[in-house]
Amino acid sequence: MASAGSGDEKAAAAAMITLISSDNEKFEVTEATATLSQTIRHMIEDGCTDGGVPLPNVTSKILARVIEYCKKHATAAAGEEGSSSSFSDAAFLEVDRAFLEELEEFDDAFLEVDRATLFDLILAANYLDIKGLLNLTCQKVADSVKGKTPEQIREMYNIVNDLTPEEEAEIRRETQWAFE
Amino acid sequence: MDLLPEDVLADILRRLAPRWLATSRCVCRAWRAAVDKRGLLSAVAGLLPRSLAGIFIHHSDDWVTCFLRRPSAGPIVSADLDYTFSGDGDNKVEYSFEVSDHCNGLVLLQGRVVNPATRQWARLPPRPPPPCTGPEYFYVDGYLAYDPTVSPHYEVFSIPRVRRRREPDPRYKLDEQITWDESPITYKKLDPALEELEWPPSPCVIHVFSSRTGTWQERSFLREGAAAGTVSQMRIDTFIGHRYAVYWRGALYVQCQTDFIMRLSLSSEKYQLIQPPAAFAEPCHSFDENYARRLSIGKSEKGVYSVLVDQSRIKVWILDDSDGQFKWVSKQLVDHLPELQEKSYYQLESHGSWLLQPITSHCYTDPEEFVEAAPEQFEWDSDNDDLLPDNGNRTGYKAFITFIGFHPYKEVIFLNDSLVRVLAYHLNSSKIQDLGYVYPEDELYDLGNQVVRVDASFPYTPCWMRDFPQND
Repeated sequence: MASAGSGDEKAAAAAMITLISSDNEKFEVTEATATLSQTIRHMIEDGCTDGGVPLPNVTSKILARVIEYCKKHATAAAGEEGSSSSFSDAAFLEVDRAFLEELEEFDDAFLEVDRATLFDLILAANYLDIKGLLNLTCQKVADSVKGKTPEQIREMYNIVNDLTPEEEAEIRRETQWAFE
Repeated sequence: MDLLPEDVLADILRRLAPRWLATSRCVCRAWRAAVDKRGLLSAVAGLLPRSLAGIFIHHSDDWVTCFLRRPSAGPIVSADLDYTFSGDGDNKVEYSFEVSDHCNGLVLLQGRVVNPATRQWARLPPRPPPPCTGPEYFYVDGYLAYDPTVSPHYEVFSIPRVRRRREPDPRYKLDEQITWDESPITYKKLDPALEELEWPPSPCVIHVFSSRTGTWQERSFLREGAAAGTVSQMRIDTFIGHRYAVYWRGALYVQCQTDFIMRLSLSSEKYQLIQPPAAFAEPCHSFDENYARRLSIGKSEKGVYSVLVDQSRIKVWILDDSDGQFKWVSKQLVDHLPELQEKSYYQLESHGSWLLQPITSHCYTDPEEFVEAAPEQFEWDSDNDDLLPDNGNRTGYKAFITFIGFHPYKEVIFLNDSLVRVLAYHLNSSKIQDLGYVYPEDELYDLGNQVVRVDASFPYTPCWMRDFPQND
C-alpha cells in the first residue's frame, strides 16, 4: 500500500505525489489517484505539492483506506474515458457493465467497516473533498437510519438526547403523520 | 456522530425520505437544527397527501366515473384524466376511466397508474394471467401500495379471486342490456378436486408490479395460520361490487371473498387471514336486499377500520394489533340513522357545496380552468360545526344508504343516500352533513332509463411530490 504501482509501468511513468498522514507515514500515489480529491487537485494546480502533501487530519489507517478507494475509482474513471468514444459498440458496453458491477461490489466490500472507521472515512472524504467517497459513506449512514425510531438511532450512535420532553412532544405533534 | 460537522450531517439527512427526516428531528437538537436550518423537511411536508380533495366515484355503468370535488381554497386537482391516453385517437374508446384503487394520492386505472395532482402517470405492462390453475377458475383484482413518506416507488398487487358460482350467462352480452339480475342463472362447475382446495393457497403466488423494476414479478407469500376455507366455500360469495384494500404500516389489507381480510406483510412475504368483525352472510339478489347489508374496510384516523351498513344501522370497528393479535374493537353502533320525513325527490336535491365533475374522454377540459382557487367560504372543515344547515333539523337519509368511504384522517364516514346524495357522518358527534349531489348526468352519459349505482368509490388525498417514477 505504501509504495504505489510497483511493477506497473504505466503507473510508474505517471507523475507521483507523496501524501503524509497525521502520524507521519508517507504514501506515494499517482496524480490520477490523488486528484480524485479536489483538495489535493487544487494543491497540485497551485504547485505546492513538492516535498509531499501533509494531511494533519487523516491518520495512516484511514488514509490507506482512502487511497485504496481512490485507486480503484481512478482506474474506473480512466476506463470510462477510454470507452466513451465507442459507446455504441456492444462489446464495450458489456465490458463497461461488468466493470461497473465490479466497482459496486468493491464499494459494498469497502463499506464493511465499524462505525468509528465509517465516521473517520466521512471526515476524511469531507476534508479531502472526494465526492464519490463522501456520497458513498453518507448514504451508508443514511441507510442505517431508515426505519429506525429516534431511540434506536440514539442508541446506535451513542447520541445523548438533549431535547426536553416538551420539545420532543412538539416535534411529534408537528409531524404526527410520521409517528403513526 | 457529535464529531460530524453540521453540513456533513445535513448531507446525510437530506438523503432520507420524509418519514425518516421527521424521525431524525426527534433524535437530538443538533439533528433537528441540521434538518430545520436547510428546510429539508418543510420543503416536502406540504406536498404529502394530508388532505381530502374529493371522492372518485365509479358507477355501475362501465363508462361512468365522476369526481366529487370538495371546494377548497388550496390548489385544486383536476380529475380530467384524458392525458393518460397517449394520443392513439381511435383506440381511446378501448379504455375506461374506471378507477379501481387509490392509495396516498395515486390512482389505479385500467393498465395505468396516475397522480392526478401532478398529472404524472405511467402505463403498466400487460399483466400476466393469474398464476393459479387457469383463468376460467380464477381472476385477479389490482391494488396499489404506495407511501410517499417512505419512497417514491409504488407497487400493484394482483390479488387472486375465485370465480363465483353464479355467473351471468356468457351468451348475454352487455350490449343486449341484460342486467345481472335478469340474466339466466348459471352455476359454473369446477373440477371437484379444485373445489376442495384450501383457499387462499400457501404459498399464495401473487403477481406484483414494481415501479422500481418496471416489471411484473411473481412473489410467493406464505400463510401464517389457517386458511379461510376451500375454493368451494369462497364461491358462495356472489358480490359483484368492488372489494377494498388498505395499505397501512407496510402491510396490505385486502377484503376477500366471504369478507375475511388477507393481510400481506410486504417485507416478510408472509400473509395471514383476519376474520371479519361480523359473520359473512350470503347476499340475496333482489335489488333492495343487495343494498341492505354490506361489510367494507377502509383507512381512517387510527388505522384500519371496518364498517357494516345494514339498512339504517351502521356498525364501525377499529382493527387493534397492539398485542400482536388482530382483533376488532367496536367503535360505534348507530341503531337507526335519522330518516327524512319529507321523501320527495326535491329533498334529495343536495344543498351541499361539493361539486360533481364528470370524467369522460369526450369532454376534454382545459387544464387552466382548474388552477383558479374557489372562494374560501366553501372550505369544508369536518371540525367546524357551523357548516351544518342551520334549520333546526339535522339532515337524514331518504330510502337507503350505502357506504362510500372513510375520511382518511378523521373519524367520518361517507354515505350514499338513495343513489343521489353524499352524506358525511361524523362518528364522534353523530352529526350528518349533506356534501353534494352525486348522480351522473343522464344526458352526458346517455343513460336513458338505466339506473346506476355507486360501484366503487375512493376518498382521494392528493400527493404533490413530483418524483413519480416514470418508465415511458
